[in-house]
Amino acid sequence: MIAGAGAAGLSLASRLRRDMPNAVITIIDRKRDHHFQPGFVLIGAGLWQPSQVTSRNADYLPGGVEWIEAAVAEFDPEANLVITDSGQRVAYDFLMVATGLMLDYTAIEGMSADLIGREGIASVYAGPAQALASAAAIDQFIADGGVGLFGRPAGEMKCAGAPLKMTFITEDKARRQGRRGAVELIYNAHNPGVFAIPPVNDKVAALFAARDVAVNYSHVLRAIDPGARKATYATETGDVVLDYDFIHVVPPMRAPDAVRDSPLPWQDGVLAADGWIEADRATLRHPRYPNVFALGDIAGVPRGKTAASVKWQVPVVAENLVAETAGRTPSAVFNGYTSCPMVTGYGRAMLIEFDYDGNLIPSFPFIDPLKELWVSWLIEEKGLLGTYRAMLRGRA
Amino acid sequence: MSDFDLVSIYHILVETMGIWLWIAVAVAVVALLVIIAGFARLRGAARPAGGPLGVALAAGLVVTVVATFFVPVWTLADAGALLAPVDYVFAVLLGLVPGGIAAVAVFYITAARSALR
Repeated sequence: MIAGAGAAGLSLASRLRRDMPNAVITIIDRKRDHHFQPGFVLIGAGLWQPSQVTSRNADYLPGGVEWIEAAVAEFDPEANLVITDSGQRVAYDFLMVATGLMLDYTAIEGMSADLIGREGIASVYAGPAQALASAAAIDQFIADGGVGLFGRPAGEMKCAGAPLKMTFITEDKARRQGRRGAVELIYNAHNPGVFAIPPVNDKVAALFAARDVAVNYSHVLRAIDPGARKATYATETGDVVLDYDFIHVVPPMRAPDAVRDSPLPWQDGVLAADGWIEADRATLRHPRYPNVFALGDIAGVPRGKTAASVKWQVPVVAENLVAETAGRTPSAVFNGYTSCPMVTGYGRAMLIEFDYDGNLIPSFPFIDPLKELWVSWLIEEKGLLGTYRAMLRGRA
Repeated sequence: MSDFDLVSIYHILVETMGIWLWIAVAVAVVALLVIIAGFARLRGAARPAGGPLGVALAAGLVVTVVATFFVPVWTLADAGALLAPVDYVFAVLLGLVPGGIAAVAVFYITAARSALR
């Protein structure tokens, strides 16, 4: 049983169909559309159209996999049952949870996803249409001038590089249009750094300084007043209110209710509050429910909320499941691989790849991860979508 | 990089290029046949291949150089986006595609003319 037909769920279904030809594989998800989420930034940059990132889940579902078109309403790992929102009770021998996460815009007081594209509010996370509306909001901001705010939430999030990318893109676009002097850009970091990996943090901070992007540290967006265009940030010394003409909002992210309300999440620790599923960070296996694995955004591991992580998690879970069913000890290990093609302007990016320990682990020895390069942009703009689709088919 | 084996690369190319992958393969096969046909015509007429090859290489070089600087535009970047030696290497490799096609076409045309003399 695979819960979720996103990047992780579909990729795993394809792998397992090949690796376990006699298994009965069921995937549960109500969504029919499939979005290539790494492309949302390029839509927000005004380069791609929503149609380029939108396809159908059915196109990637391998033959012989049953698709239950419903949402998971309840997980009951004690009884090895998943209950759908239509009331269907589906039993399993092994459960792979790949539900993805929930964007919690309403956790920011005064904010809702409906506001994206209005009142100077952008957010590329919500979907392709919202990313397109964000591109228009950026254009309007550059035309009108004023103060632009960027930042990220305090908790775990998918693609932690995207808030930085949107800052760089806005800056570069304003510069190219001769409007850089008309816009003031401020990045509000949620902690004392702009990126979790020290050498990347240093590089991004240096680029921000060189491009006159101000940074406020330990500022977490708490509330927004769209009419007055004021944003309230929680800081170590209390709330701070900043006026803005444009703001790129990145919402807090958490587990969907069905996961949160189940026994599957961490019971304590930093990953417990938002409901991320307890999983061994190496094998991705649930320590309390050995027939449950977690992968993709929902997995409660220190890194891994990117499509690049999924590419490495899926073979690990597939191999461990095959080993388990064959009576062997699961031994495949996920090293925390995450990749972020950090777009730093139109036509340039840094291809940053790292593991659980924060080590930079470049896939291509000829690409310096801390150098702005066109070839890294080439991979972002031309290479990732095809690789992603091959991954969905279990072929990459 | 060890993760990118030939099978994976093949599937990535299929997903990235779609029908264009097979068009590219067809063009490559046709180019090979054209080169063979060009050499055959020169041999049949007992003409040396040096002249046509030189002209073809010059034409291919010119087209490759011009195409190299337009490759970034194909990636929705500016023509001046190439920043480092590795950027130029990859841009040249991609520029070699139209450069190679031009070289093959010029080689066959000059070989055919040479054979007719």
